[in-house]
Amino acid sequence: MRSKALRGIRLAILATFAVAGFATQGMAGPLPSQSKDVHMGTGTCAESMCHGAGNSWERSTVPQNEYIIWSRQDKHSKAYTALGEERGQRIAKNLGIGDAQKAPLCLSCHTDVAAADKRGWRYKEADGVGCEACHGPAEKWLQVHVTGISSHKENVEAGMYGLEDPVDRAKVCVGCHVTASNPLFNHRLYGAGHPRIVFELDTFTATEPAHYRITDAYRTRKVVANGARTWAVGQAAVAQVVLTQVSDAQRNHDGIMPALATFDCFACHHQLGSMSGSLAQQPVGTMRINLSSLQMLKVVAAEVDPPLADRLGRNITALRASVREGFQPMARAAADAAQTVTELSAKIGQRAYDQNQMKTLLRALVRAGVAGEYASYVDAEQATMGIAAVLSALTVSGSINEPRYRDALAKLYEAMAKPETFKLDAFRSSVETLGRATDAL
Amino acid sequence: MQAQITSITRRARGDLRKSSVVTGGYLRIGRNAHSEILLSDLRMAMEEAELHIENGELRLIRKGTNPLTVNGQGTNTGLLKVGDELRLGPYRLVIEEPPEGVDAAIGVELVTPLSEDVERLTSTSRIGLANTWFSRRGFAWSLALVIALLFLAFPLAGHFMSRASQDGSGSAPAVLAAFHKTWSAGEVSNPHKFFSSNCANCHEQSFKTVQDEACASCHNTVNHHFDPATVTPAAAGQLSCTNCHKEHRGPVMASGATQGVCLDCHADIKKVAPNTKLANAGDFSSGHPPFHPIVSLDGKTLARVDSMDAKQQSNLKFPHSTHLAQGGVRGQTGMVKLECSNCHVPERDGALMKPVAFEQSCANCHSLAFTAEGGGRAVPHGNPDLAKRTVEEFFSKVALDGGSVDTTAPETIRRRPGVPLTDPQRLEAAQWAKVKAAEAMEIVFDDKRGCGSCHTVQKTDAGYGIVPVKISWVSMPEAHFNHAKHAAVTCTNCHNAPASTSSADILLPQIATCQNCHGGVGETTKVASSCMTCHDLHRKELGPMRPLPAGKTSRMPQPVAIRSGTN
Repeated sequence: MRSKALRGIRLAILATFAVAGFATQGMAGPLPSQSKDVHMGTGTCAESMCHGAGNSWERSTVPQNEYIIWSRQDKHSKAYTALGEERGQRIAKNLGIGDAQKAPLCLSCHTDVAAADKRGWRYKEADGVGCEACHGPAEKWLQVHVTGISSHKENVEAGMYGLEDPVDRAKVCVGCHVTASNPLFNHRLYGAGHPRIVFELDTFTATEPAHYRITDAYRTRKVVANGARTWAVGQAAVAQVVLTQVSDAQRNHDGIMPALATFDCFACHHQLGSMSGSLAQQPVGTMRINLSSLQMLKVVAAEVDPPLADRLGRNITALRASVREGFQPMARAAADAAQTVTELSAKIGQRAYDQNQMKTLLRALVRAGVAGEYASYVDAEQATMGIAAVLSALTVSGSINEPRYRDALAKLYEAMAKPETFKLDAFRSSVETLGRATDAL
Repeated sequence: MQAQITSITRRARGDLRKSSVVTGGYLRIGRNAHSEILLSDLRMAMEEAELHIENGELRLIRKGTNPLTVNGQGTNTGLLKVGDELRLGPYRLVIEEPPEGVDAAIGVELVTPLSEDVERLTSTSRIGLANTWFSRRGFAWSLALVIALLFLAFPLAGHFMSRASQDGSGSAPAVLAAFHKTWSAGEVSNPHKFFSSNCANCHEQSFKTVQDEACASCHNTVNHHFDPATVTPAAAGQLSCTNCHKEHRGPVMASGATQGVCLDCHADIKKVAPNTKLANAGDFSSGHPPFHPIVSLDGKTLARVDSMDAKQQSNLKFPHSTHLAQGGVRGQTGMVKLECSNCHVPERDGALMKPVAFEQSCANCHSLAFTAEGGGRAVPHGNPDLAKRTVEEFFSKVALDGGSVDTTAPETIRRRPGVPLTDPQRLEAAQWAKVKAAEAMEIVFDDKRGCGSCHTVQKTDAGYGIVPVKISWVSMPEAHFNHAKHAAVTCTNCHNAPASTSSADILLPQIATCQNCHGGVGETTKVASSCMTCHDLHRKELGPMRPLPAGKTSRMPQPVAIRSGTN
């Protein structure tokens, strides 16, 4: 009876997400991980006259050094080799899954997964998260793409996965960067020594680092989303994935324990005595789901639709309280929150965010920060990246100069340097300083 | 009508009658060969008379000039009856009772043959040699003497006179030399003409066929066909130059071997070379073994493979299919449709292909640029050490000159060009150049772009290296295939390169591909091909067949300038 009800809730949520996904979908086709095409291998793209140029062609529309950036600076290129290093081997040993470089659990995110019969002659598992892991297996689109006269639209129609719209991009990223995509990715993996997984779409796009430049040629071929929109869309995507997992009664617990990977690590993992004891909304000592993405979405919602923001606030409160009641109430609360997120996602839709809207977002983030709403490290962490994303977008739009906030932002990042040394007061004062520097207060 | 003609010869022991039946509309009588009644005596006219059937009776019609009588009466025409006797010149013809089935029967008898006197007159009227002072015997001897003088004495004199002279350049009078040539069996081949005036150059011993030593006195570097140690002693002695090389056949090269010379041994090769790995060989249409090309299987050494399906390891990543794609390949200015000939260029003799050179065939697309600084700069292909020096020298120069466009470079490097550096700045510049060069080298020798897109890159403590490419540019050295002669055939008829997705494929044709057009020596509907169509006897990997004996020098004349050591 109970499990039937849960399954019903779960199906309802999946259905709403499917609709929401459709409503906000960009032009991209199936996710790269779901494509049945052959992965040609990173070496196919990396040639010196293509995306690995030492000196780009005169009339090239792209920098052509994408491979060089990826291979030298982007950690995606080291994803597989990391498995072979001390930490990777140690984690695999602790989990008892043998060689990390051979374990499907690890490889599912640490390389561009391709079945044995879907590998071109240049494909190498050891290349890590290569081009086709995000841009889609190239078997069908490579020929169109290399002509150099095909438009981005034609490439995508031929099977390339378009990533310029943050809605589509987020779908690919969350596949690995948010725990819920992999049912095996649970608290045990953290226990075995895997680093904490954090994600924020705009920040991570920039720090990857991005291997594209937004030039006139780029603008003629692709829609450009600003940082604020990218941030908002990213938060919605993360929230949907998190809520899917929490609302899934099959996956929201591990035996008698909750699915701890979806919880805020620092709710429990804090040095005794350093606990602030002043976290809003719930009594001390209560397990706390990691709802940082919903906290951010509250700010997004307040700008788009204030009543929806209020509802989201109530959802968050209910979800946090549900932890004390049981898995079924928790799943129901997650389903309610998911409904709100779905409605909000639809409203964000193709919202482009102008300067005033971005300033509203910044103001809301700063005020909530100063008010102490981001008392947990994971919330403060997302707020910091959100502030940086919006500031960066404002700078690009020309409404603020980077030198004005450079020092204040550096100080804020300093306050966030390590979870162990995180102090809420220091964070609040840093946000306050930044708020004054940017006229957000 | 049908008539029985009976020739009658009177003899002492009884008449000789010889009958034959002739058929015709009527019967012609005369000396003409087609006459039904042939009267061959010289005194007869060609046509003397005719016999016709007229209402069952024989009618005689006179045609000739000799007098004709019937039963003693001269006549020109008249009907004849059995028993009538005709006289026509020296002949007597009798009408006889015809046997059953025949219309008439005529007996013919030469009654007055030519007299003995006539025979005698005829014979004495001829003039014979015997009647003259110049007898037949005398003439024969005279002619024999002239022939002996011109074609034996003169040539011999010329032969010995020129032999007597030290260098053989002929001191014999021209006339002797001219007759000397009459002994020649035919025109000498072009390459041998310059010394052919002296027969003794080759024909060292009189009345003995030319010996191999004579050939080897110049051709001392011609390679052997087999290692004498690998064949039976009997077979080792079998091959002499003149087995194959026939002279005095006109201005063609002096090789005239037929397939039989090869098959004498190769039809059952184990018999003459018990330890050989060669298969038996026969006519190209049916008896030729499959091709066993030489390729690299381990990336280091060349080896013979059993089958074209084997996978070679050239240490090169090169998919023909990508480069020959229907839609072309991407070049700087757009799609370029590559043809085989863009990379594969024949040698000057048209036989084989030149090795593919990066600069000519690859560089247009496969850039080796390592920086955009200074308008771009590329490393040279083929020498990792030189590449390293190029990169290091380039960034050192940028650092020393200043004016770098690298926005991440320190002020020292980006300073206005021409401003001299202080000593501490020099150290900074050198350090920057070193770091930039190391970065650039990493990119150049990346395993997926630059060097690594085609080659296998090796990184050691000593620096970067490239695993050497191992390709056998001549995979079937025993045969001399000539691409130029096959120019009318497209490349892909024999080499299925567009379908080859890996450089591991051996893209040589199977023998069946050759047999589409080439058949054996007896072929009438294909190109008739013998062993010599593709194979040489002399194998360059073996030593000389007949080296110069120690202490002997080649008789091959050397150009004067080189011989005298002056220019």
